[in-house]
Amino acid sequence: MGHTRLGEVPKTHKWNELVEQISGSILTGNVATADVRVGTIAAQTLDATQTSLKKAATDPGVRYTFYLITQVALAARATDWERALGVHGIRLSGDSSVFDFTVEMQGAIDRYVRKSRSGATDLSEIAQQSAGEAIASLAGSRTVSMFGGSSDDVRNAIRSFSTKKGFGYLGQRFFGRFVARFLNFYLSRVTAASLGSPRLRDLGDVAQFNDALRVHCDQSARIVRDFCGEWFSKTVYREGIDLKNTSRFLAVAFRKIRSELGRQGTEI
Amino acid sequence: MISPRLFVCSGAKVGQESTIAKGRQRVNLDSIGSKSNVNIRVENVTRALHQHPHPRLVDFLEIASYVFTADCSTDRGEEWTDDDSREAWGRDFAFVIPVREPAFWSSPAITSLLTEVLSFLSNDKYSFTFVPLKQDRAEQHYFEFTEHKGWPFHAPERVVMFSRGLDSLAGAVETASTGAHVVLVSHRSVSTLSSRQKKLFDELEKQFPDQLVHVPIWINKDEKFGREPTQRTRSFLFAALGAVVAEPLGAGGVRFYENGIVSLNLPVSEEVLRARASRTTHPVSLHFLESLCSAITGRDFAVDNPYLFKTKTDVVEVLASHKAPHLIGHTCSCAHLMFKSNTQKHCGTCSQCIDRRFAITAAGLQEYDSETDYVSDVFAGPRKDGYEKKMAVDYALHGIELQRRSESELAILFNAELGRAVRYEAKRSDAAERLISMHKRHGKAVTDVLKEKIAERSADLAVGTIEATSLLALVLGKNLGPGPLATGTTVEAITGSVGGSSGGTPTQADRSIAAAGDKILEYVMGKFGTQGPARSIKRRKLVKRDTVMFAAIKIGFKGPQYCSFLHDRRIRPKWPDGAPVSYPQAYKMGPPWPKKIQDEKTRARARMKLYADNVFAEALVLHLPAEFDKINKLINSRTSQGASKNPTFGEPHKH
Repeated sequence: MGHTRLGEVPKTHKWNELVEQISGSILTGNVATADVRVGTIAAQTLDATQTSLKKAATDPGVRYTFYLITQVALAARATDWERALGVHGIRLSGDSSVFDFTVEMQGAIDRYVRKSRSGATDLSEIAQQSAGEAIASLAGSRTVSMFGGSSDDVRNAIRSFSTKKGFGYLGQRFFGRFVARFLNFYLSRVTAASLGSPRLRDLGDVAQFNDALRVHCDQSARIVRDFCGEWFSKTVYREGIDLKNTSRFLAVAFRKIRSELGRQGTEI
Repeated sequence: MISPRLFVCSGAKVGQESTIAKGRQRVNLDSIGSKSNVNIRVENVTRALHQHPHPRLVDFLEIASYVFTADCSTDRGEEWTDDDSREAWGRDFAFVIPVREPAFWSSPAITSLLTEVLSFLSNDKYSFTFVPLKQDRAEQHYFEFTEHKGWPFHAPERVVMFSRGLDSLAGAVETASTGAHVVLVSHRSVSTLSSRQKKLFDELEKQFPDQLVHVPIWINKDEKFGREPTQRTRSFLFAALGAVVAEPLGAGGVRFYENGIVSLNLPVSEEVLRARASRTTHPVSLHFLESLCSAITGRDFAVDNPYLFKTKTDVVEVLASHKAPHLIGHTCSCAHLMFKSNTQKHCGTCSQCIDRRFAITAAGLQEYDSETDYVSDVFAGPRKDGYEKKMAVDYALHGIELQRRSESELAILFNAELGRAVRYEAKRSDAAERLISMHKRHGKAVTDVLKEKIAERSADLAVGTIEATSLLALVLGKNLGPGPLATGTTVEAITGSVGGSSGGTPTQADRSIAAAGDKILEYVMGKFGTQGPARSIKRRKLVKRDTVMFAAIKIGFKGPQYCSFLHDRRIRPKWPDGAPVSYPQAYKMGPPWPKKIQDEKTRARARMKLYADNVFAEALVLHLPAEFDKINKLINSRTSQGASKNPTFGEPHKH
C-alpha cells in the first residue's frame, strides 16, 4: 500500500547545466568530495530556485514555525513555563523528554498550518522538519537523554536558547538545515538519477554528497548566527516578537544566506 | 497547476453562475441511473446483515466513492510554477453531494473532519456542500444479497481490510489462527485483481475452513476519466467500505494490517515531502478516520493497525510461524494496479516489489516467492531511467542510512515525521523508541540482503555481465567488473589484493571478486557519514566529578564501594543544606539517601554513553593520573570474558 512519488527537476537550460555539474559527463572527478563543486552546485541551485525561496519569508507555516521557536525560548524564561507554553497549545507533564517537547511543538505547528488559508506547503514542511531537527539536536545534547529526563531538564535546555548567544546558535542550526533541505528537495532528484555517472560512481558518493551539502549549508548559515541573536535580543526588549516582525526578519535572514552561498559559490 | 475542479454528484443542481462553480472546471459524477460513471457494488452481503444499511453509512459510501473517483481521475500535473521552482502537487476540489442526512454531514465538526483527513492523506484542498437527496434514489441497488445459513460472524472484534498483499494476509492468518471467525472486506476495481484476490482467498479458506467470509466491494470509474496513479485517498474509501460492513455486524471497528515501515513511510529522499510518501495507514490518518467513523456510527468505532511496530520482514515471518508461507506465492504486492501479465504478478521495479523481495529474502523464505513471478529481477534486472532507477537508489540509500545512524540521529533527522507518528500514543517517547528500533531493524535487513545478493552475484560482477542499470550495479557503481572505469587497480585499492577482471581470466576474477564482495560493499558504505555533521558522541572534555563517577561505574563498584571510591577522590554530594556531606555517610544513614545515590549513578551511567572512549581516557589522565594505569587495566579486563567480578581496586571506605 505504500507508495512514493518521485519527480524530476524542470527541463530548463539552468537545470540542464546543474545536472551536467552533478553528473559530470564532460569533466570527471568526485562531486561529493570536492568542496568546489558542492559550493558551486549549491549556489547555482539557489539561483534556479530563488523565486520559491523568496516566498519562504511570507509563507504562513514558515513564519509561524520560526515565531514558535522564539516563543518557546522565551517561555523557558517565564516563572511558570508550562503555562507559558500552554498559550501555544504545548502541554508538558513532569516527566516530559526533549522528544516529547518536540512532538508538542510539531503538533502546535500542524494545528496552525491546518487552519491557515494556504494550508501546509512544501516550504512549511521544510521549516517544520528543520525546526524539529534544530531543537532536538541542540536541546538533546544538553540533556542526559533524548527520550528520558524531566520537564525541568527540558526547560533548562530550552532556556539556553533564550540568550543572545544561545538563540544565535539555534538560529544558525535552523537556517542551515532549512537551506540544506530546501536545496536537496531539488538536488536529490538529480543525484539519485545520476548514480553511475563519472562524478557519482556509487551509492556512497550520493551519501557523501548529501553530507557535504549539509555541512556546507550549516557552515554558510554562520552568517546569520549573530544576526539571529541580536534580532531576538533587541526585538524582545523593544517591541516584543510577533508574526509581522518575524516575517520581516526571515526575509533579511534568507537574503543574507542566499548571498553568502552565492558568494562562496563564485569565490571557490 | 491544474485548474480547480467542481464535482457535482448524484444529479445535484448547480447553476453555471453559482458562486461555487466560478473558476472551477465542472465534472458530473453519478453512481446510479443512465448517466452513471461511478460503479458501486457490494458483493456477498448476507441477509444476516441488515438489508438496508443505515442511511448515513450509504451516504458515507457514496461520498467516499466520489472522492476516490475525483482523486484517481484528476492528474496532479508535472509542470513547475514560480519560475520553475515550485512543483505541481496539490489540487483544489469542491464537491456538491446530495445526501440522506444533510444536517449531519453539513455540521462544522463533520466537514472539518472530512477536510482534515483528506488534506492529510492527499495534500489537496477539499470543500463540501451537502444538499438533501431526492427520495427516489435506490441505494439497495448497491447491495447483492446472498443467503448464509447458520451465520457465525456476528460482532467480530474488527472487520479486516483484505487487499491481495502480504500484510493483510498475515493479519488474516494470525487472527484466524486464534480460532476466531474473520470478516474480510476488499476493494475491487479491475477484474484481473479480482480473480487474483479470489484465488488468494480460496487458498486461505483451505487452511481455515468455515472461519472466513469475504465481502468484496466494487468501486470503479468510467474508463473515459483520466488516470492519476497516486491514489492518496484510498484509505478513506477503505474505511467507508469497512464501516458499511462492520456497523450492521456489530463489529468493534475496522482493522488495517500494514507494516510500520510503510505505515509511517519516512521519506526515502529529501524530495519526498508531505504526502508524496503515501499516508494510507499513517497513525494520524487512522486517528482521523476513527473519529469520523465514530461520529458516523454514533459509537466508539476503532480504526487500527496492529502491525505498526513490525517491519515487512517481521510480517513475512508471521506467515512462516503460522504455517502459511505457502500462501506467499498467491499474494501480489506490485503497485502497478493495471499490470496486465497473466503469468507474472510483479513488475519487479516499483517500490512495493523492491520492499517485498527484500523482506522475503531477509526472512529466508525465497523458496515461496518464485523469481519467475517477477518480470524483472529486483536485484539484477534492468531499470529504466527515471522512477525505476531512482526508486532502487533511494530505497537502498535509505536502508543503509537507517542502519548506520544512531537512534538519536534518527530522532533528530526525522523529528517531524516521528513526532506526528506518536502524537496519539499515551507514552510518546517509548513509542518513538520502538519505531526507531523497528526502522533500524529494517535498515539492517536491507543491508544484510544487499550483502547476500552481492555474494550470490559475485560471478556476474566479476565478469561484468551484471546489468549496468540493476539495483546491485547502481549500489556498487563502477568499482567492479571490466567496465571502462573499473580496473584491477580499483579493486586492489579497495580490497588490498590483486583482483578484478583486468588482465585475468574470468575464473580468476570470479574468485577474487567473490572474496572481495563484502569489502566492496564496505568500501561503498564506508563513504557514508564521512562528511556528516557532528555525531551525538560528545567531544567536550570531561570534568573531574563525571570522570570519577564513570570510572567507578566502569570498574563495577556498587553500594559502599562506589561511595568510598567517590569520597576518596574528593567527590562530595551536591545536595541541599542539611543533607549528608559525604557519600559513605549518606549511604550509611539509609533512606532516602541510598536511593538518591542510585538515581545519581543511573543518570551518570546515561551521560557516560555520550562520551567517546578516547575522551574518557584523556579525562582519566587529567583527573586521575596516578591511577590511570590501574583503572584502565581494570576497565579493559572487565570488558574481556571471564573478568573478575570482584575488583580488588579500591577497598571500601572505613567509617
